[in-house]
Amino acid sequence: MIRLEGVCKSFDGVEVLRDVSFAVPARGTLGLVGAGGAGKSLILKLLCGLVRPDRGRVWLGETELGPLSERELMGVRGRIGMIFQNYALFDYLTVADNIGFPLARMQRPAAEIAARVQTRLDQVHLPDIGPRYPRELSGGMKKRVCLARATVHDPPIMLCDDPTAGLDPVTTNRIFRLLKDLQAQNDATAIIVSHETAYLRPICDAIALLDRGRLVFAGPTEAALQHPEVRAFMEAGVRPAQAR
Amino acid sequence: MSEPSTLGGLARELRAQIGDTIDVGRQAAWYLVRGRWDWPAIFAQAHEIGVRSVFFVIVCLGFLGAIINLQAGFQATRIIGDASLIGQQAMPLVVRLLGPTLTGMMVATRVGTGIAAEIGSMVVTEQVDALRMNRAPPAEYLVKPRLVACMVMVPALTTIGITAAFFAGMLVAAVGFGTNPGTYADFDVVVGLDLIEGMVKAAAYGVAIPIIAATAGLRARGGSEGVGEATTQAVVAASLAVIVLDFLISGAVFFLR
Amino acid sequence: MTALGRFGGAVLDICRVVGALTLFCGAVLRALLPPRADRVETWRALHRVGVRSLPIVIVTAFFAGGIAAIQVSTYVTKFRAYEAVGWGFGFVTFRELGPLLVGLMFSGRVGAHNTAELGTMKVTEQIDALRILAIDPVHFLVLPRIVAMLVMMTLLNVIGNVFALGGGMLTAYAMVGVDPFVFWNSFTEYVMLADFINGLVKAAAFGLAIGIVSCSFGLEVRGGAPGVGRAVNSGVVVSAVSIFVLDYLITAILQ
Repeated sequence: MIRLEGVCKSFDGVEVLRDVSFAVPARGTLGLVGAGGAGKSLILKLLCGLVRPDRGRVWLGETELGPLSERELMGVRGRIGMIFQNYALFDYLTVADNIGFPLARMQRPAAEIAARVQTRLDQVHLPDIGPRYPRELSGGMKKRVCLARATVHDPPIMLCDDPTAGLDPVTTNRIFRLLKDLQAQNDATAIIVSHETAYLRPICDAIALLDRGRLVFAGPTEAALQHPEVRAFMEAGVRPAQAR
Repeated sequence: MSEPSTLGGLARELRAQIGDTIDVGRQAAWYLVRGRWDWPAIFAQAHEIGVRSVFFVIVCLGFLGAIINLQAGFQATRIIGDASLIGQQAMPLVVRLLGPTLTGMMVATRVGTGIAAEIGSMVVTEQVDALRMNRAPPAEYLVKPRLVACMVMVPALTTIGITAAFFAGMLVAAVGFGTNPGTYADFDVVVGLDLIEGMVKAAAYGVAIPIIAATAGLRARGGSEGVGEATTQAVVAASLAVIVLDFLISGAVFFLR
Repeated sequence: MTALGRFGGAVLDICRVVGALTLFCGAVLRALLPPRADRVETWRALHRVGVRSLPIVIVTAFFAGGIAAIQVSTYVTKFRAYEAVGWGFGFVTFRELGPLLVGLMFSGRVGAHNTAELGTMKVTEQIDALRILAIDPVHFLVLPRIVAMLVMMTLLNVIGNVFALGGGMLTAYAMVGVDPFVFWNSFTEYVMLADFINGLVKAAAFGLAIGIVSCSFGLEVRGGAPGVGRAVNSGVVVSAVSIFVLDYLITAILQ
C-alpha cells in the first residue's frame, strides 16, 4: 500500500535521509520512532509529495509519486489524511470551516459538509465548538479538531506526525483511541510518528526505527521488540527511571 | 540563508528570488485564467489592500504634493520671481512619476509586508502544507485573490493619491505663494500620455507587488525569525521592483513622446 | 454609527502610536544623559547596518538618478535647454528624490529587519533575559541601533548621490544624447552646496526617525511569529509616514 525504495534527501548539503526503504501493507499500522531530527516528519512529507526525494521512489498504492506534477499530486493527496505536528489549523476559519475545508475544496454540497462535520465533531467528543476559532482552544482540543479535519473525507491513508506532542497522559490515551477508531472505520492504512512508545506498541502491527536519517529496523512489532536497538528505544520510553 | 553582504551575494540572492517569483507568477497566471473565482476572498483582500490603505496613501501623497509645490515655489520665486505657474510645472510630474511610483512604494510597504507576514506565518505553522494537502494550491487559494485585488486597487489608490497630492499642493501654493487656485488647477498641462503613463505604471505595480510579496512569504523558513526575514525581503524586493519598473516604463514612454 | 465607531477607533489607534513613540523617545533621551550606549554593540550595529544596506542603496540611487534624468529630459527637450539638464537633475535628485527613495528603501531593508530582530528577541524572551542580567535594553540594544542608522543613513546618502549622478549621466547620454561633459558642467555650475546639504539633513532626519520607530515597534511585539509580522508591517508604515512629514517640515524650514 505504502512503499519507499532507497529514498535519499539532503537540505543545503546535509543528508537528512539516507537510503530508506520500507513498506506498509493495506490496513496496516506502522509506528515510526526515532530521536528528534532523525527524519521522521520528513518521511511523512515525502509520502504526501510535499517534499520530493533526491533519489529513490515512493509509492502510494499503485501510484508512484515521482513523475507526478504538482497538479496531479493534488488528486493523490485527496486520499491522505495528514495530522500535522503543530496542528496547522487555519486560524482565520472557524473550527467547523476548518474541518469542512477538504470537502469544500472537493466542492461537495453545503448540507453534506455540515452533516459530516457534525458527525466528526461528535466522534471527537467536541460537539459544540463548531463556531469557535482555533486560537480559543486548548492544545488537546486542537489536536482533536486536526484529527477530525484529517479524516473528514474518509481517506484510505492516515499520516500522523506526533499526534500527542505536549499533551497530558489522559488526553494522549484518548487521542490514540480516537485514531484507532477512525482508522478502523475507514479501513485505512496508517503511519504514526510518536514518542509515546508505550501507547504505540499495542496499536501498531509494525515498528520502524530511524537514527539520524538511516533506517535501523523495520518489521512486525514482535520481531522489532527482539531487535536490541529498537527494544532499547522502546523501553527507554516506558521505564525512563531505569533507563537512566 | 546567507547574508547578502556583497553585491555578489545580493546578486545570488536576487537570482534565486527572481526564479521563485517567476514560478509563482506563472502559476498565479495559470489559475487566473483557469482557477476558481473565490469572490468572498477577493473582496476581503480588496478591503484589506485597498480600503484600509486609503488613509495611509492620502497622508503620504498629500505631504508629497505639498513638498513638491514647496520646492517648486521656492525655486520659481528665486529664479523668475513669480510662483503662479508652479501647479502647471508640478502636476505632470505628479501624475506620471511621483503619484504612481510613491503610491506603489507605499503599497509595497504596507500591503507587501502584510501579504508576506500573513503567508509567511502560514508557512511556518504548516498551514500552507495543510492547504496543499487539500486541493488548495497556494497560488490559487492565497496568491490569486491578492493579485486580483491589487490589480484593481493599486490604480484606484494611485488615483486617490494623485488627487490628494493635487489638493495638498494647491493649499501650499495658495497659502505659501499666493498662487490663484484657478491658475493652479490648469488641467491642460496634463496630456493624455501622462495619464496613460501613470496608469500603466500603477497597473504594472499592481501585478508585481502581490506576486513578489507572496513569493517572499512562501519562501519563509523557521519560526518568527523566518517570518521577519520574509517580511523584510518583501518590502525591499517590491520597492525595488517599483523603482525598476518606473525606470523601464518612463524610458519607453520617453521614446514614444 | 459603525462608520463613526471605526473612525473613532482609527483616531485612537493613531493617538496610541504617537503616544507610544513619544514615551519611547523619552526613554531614549533619558538614556542619553549621560550617553551610555554600549560601545562594542554600537560598532557592530554600524557595521551590520552599513553592510546590509549598501548594495540596495547603490542600486536604488542608480535607478533614482536614471528616473530623474528621464523626467528632466522630458522638460529639457521641450524647451531645448540642454545645458540645464545637469542643474534640473541635481536639484531633483539631491534635494528630493534621492533622500526620499533611499530613505524608503533603508526603512524597508534596515528598519524592517531591525523590528523583526528585536521582535523575535522579545517573543523568545531574550529581552527579559537581558533585564535579568541587569542590562538595560535601551543602552544595549536601542541606542547603538539608532546611532548606527543615523550615521549610516547620512553616509549612504552621500554614496547614493554619487551613484545617482552616475545613473543620471548615463541615462541622459543614452536617451537624450546629452554629452556627459555638458551634463557635468551644468551640474557643477548650478547645483549648490545648499542642495547637497538639504539632502544630507533630510537623510540624517530619516535615519533617526527610522531608528526610533523600528526599535519602538520591535520592542512592543506581542504574540509569536504572527505578532512579529504585524509589528514589521506597522513599523514600516509609521516610518514611511514620518519620512514624508519630516521631508515636508525640513523643506519648509531650510529655505
